[in-house]
Amino acid sequence: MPDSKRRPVAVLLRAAARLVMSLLITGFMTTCMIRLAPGFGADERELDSRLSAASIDELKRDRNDAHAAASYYRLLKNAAAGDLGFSEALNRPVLELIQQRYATTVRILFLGWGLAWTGALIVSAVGVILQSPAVRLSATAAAGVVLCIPSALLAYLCYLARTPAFAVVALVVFARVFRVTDNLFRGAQSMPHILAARAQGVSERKIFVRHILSATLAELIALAGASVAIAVSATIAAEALCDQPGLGQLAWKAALGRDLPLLVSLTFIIGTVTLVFNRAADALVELRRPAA
Amino acid sequence: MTGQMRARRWTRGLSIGVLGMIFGLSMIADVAAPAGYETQFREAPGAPPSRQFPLGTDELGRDRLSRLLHGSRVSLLLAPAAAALATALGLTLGIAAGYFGGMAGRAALALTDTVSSMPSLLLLLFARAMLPLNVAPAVSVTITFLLLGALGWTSGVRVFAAAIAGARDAEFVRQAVALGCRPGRIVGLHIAAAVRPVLAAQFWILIPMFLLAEANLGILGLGVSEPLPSLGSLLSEIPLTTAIGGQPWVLAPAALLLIVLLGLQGLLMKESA
Repeated sequence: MPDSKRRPVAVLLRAAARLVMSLLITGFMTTCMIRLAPGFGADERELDSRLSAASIDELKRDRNDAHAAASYYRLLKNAAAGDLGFSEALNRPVLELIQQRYATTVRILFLGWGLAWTGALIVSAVGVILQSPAVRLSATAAAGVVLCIPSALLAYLCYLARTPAFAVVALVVFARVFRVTDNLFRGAQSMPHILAARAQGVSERKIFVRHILSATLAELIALAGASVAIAVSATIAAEALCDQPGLGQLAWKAALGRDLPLLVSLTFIIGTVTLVFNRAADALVELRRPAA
Repeated sequence: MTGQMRARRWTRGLSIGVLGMIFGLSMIADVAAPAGYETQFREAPGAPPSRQFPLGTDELGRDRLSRLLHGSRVSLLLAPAAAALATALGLTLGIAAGYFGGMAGRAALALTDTVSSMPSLLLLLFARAMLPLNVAPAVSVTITFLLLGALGWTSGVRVFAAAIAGARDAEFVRQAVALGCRPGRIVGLHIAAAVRPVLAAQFWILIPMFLLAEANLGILGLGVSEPLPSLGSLLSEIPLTTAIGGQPWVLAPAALLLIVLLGLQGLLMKESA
């Protein structure tokens, strides 16, 4: 196979290996943390005087593995078979709860994330193309104010203003993304080849599309991957406070009710999604770099 | 001096003034507040602002201004403490990655990448749920800010590692190594001095992050528990009804948090200039 074809495969394999390692480490750390949580392994059914000693022993055996590694292995094995555990607080299988709610989260997350990125790119581009300090300063000030408002409070305000929940995600992500895209685009403006293009009379719009965007694409891809985690955090707050029945609201309820099996599954699933986006962004950035 | 520099200096001066005033008032909350944070005026629950209660009272008849002053003291003291803890943890991993390198360094960076890829609020919810929720207020304050410190270290590790790796190759460090200086002494004496500005910048960057995180936890009901106030727990007392348009004083904690965070942004503007 020629090197040009082998490199993308190697990059993707490396990214996949890093993803699997990250997931295994995250899962193991999660399992260990759960075992350290006060109250872990306690089951009120063990206090039921109607149960025989053998039944109580069976319950204990069922809940407490001797080692974290054994517990983790069992968790992985069950997850592979589609069993994500049972929610104690909601008295239903975790998989069923997730299946009912994931669509809401996906809609809020990606509408908000997409809107934020579209807005940030358009405003940054307009500021650069029009060379307008007014556009840049007003957007910077707006982003600065939003950065000073906790996402949960923003969700409060959006709920009161009856705006959709994805607006919270859009605002939170926009504020963070805009600052970086604006800095990137303005930084790229002083690159020698862009100065040369401007000196030759190339229009600002063409300079932006042909030169600035391509010069900053790697950073934008990396930022896109990282901003998914920001969007997920905002989604949790938005769902919890805007009463949206998604996975974020479920995670919040699980935390309030100390429903550890549900929280472990949700942390693992949501963590997997953000890690996939991050590793995919890393792989794309690496592919854009010239081969050594 | 250019106009931009003048504006920056003016913003910084204003930020220092406003932050100093808020910090000073919150530190003397015991003296400056008209009442204790848990003192109830049972004859005046939900009272509007008056001479006796400048920001009114909450549903339990507690003076909102007093609670705001005490709450800002909790947040403004503990956010820097959490930032110091997170900076110390980040520095430890930064030393592993930047000074020692090798397997330990790679593991430190891999751990940093993994943790920083996770949504911060989800991690906080997860870690907070691990610990008992029904605890004494003082314990809940400790838990909240220890968690923030213990989970917020990731942002600085790569910066520290790069700064330490740069300092490790400096001439004076090589000379110290050649003279037989032990790694602990080199790191503690020479490397620490070289990365001090990076440490200070990271510490200041983390404070607003932790104030925001504490506010988020408080609003979600997982922060500091009653009756002890913090900026986050006070925000959770804002009623979730459109009626707050008629009683804007209930938004005072949000306004104070906004002012503090804008002040910190103004302060950091100079640092990043």
